[in-house]
Amino acid sequence: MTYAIETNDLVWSAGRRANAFRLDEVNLRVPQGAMYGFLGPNGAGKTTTIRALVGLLRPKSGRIRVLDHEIPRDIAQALSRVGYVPERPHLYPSLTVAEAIRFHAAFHVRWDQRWADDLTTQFGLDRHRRITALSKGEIGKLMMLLAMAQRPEVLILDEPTDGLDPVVRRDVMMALIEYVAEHDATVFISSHLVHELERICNWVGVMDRGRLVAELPMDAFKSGIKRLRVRQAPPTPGDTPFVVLAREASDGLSASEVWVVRGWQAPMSQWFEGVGASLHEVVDLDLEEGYVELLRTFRRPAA
Amino acid sequence: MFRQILFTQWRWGAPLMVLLGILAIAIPVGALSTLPVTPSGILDRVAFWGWLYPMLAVLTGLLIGTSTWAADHRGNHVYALTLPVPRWYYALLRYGAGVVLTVAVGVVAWIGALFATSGLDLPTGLQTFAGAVAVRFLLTSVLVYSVVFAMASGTNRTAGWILASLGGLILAEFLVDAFGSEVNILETLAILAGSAGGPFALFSGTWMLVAI
Repeated sequence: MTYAIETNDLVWSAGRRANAFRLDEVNLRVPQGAMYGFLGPNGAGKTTTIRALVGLLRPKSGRIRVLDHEIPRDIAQALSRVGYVPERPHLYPSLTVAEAIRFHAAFHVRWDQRWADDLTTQFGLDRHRRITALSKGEIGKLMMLLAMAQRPEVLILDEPTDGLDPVVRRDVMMALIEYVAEHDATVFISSHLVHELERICNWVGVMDRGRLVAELPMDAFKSGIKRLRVRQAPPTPGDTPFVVLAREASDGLSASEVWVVRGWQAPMSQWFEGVGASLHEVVDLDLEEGYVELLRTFRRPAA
Repeated sequence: MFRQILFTQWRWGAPLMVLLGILAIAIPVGALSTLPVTPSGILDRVAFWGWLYPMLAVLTGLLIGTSTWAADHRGNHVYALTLPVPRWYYALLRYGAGVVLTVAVGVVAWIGALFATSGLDLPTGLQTFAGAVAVRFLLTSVLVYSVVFAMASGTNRTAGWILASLGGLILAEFLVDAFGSEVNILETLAILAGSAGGPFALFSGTWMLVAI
């Protein structure tokens, strides 16, 4: 498999103090052509990782490769093939929409002016309006327009729809999906909106406290995490063919427990009979529930 | 690319540029309107107004130099740093655009000087130096602009070092004074910098539009 983005033991620290935030040996593998959802709670290190990917932060150690370019060494070459939408608006406020587009176009050799014009109309952006006079949604749309009209092979989007209303969010996501379908681009997108990523992404990576705690295809992530209702569960499960993420007594039924497990497959139900328990229910978890359970497990202190 | 950089710089510096342009015309016009009759009276008037030229040149360099990075500073340089050009090249484009704007003010100063000196009926022995003053103005403003640009391009740490160095000099001056020494560090440095061969020698020359 070839990777559009790859990091090896990426380490970055916000300072020298022992409690300073750090990225801790992050090993990302974003396959070429993937829609990669980058999840994590606030302060998990998503934006920091992204800033390192686009050369805004210099790693303390480890290696970053974007489209086979070493970052930060070959950052200019990499950025000519990467569209980046930062978490906060970064455009020059005194420019109008048309001027901001002209400015951005001047730096990108593969700039598609026709598509930029189409998107300007599609997004309902007033070309003569100053950036300072644009709403948050309009700025979000303009930043997406700039990132996509440069015809990048990789789009790195840091919460591009955060704070946008559902209509604007849908417009932006539709344009993104259209772009990816037409150009077979790789998308690396971070978001708090788990359901949004669930719909469009085929890969998922989860960050927590500066570490990448999971990275796998979306299907595997979703199908592998289940909630089980178990009766007569053994006090210590011993060797299980799956990973027990959480185990709690069920409401009202003292003999019943709810288990959240990872790596579940249907034939594993036999294991319960072998230990004198009975499995009553297997519930699929959606991405958000799976993500929350994963973080809960990761954060639980070791026994 | 350069055109766009120049345009953005013009966009956020236009009011300043207009103000500087007006002042660059106002100085020679003010200096040479209703001149006294005697040569010494004329020279006194021109000298009185002449000191405004270096002030304006410094102001031009200072304002254009500080405004060059203003929009980038506001966005923490994220936009500039994520454009697909080497960072040194981007800085060079910004510097070049600032020089063009600084030169534009210099050209306005030259036009103003030419306009004010054209058709002057001067006593014998006096002549105009519109071109010389304009060139001096231009070089001075570009010099100040370059220094300010270099300082503004640096990191906070660099700015800290510069401030610490200045603070160190002032402290040294204070200590030398406290111990009763006759040495005046700051004055000596200023004289060295402003004298012939020093980096700021341009400031100490003649800024007379009309001279002997």
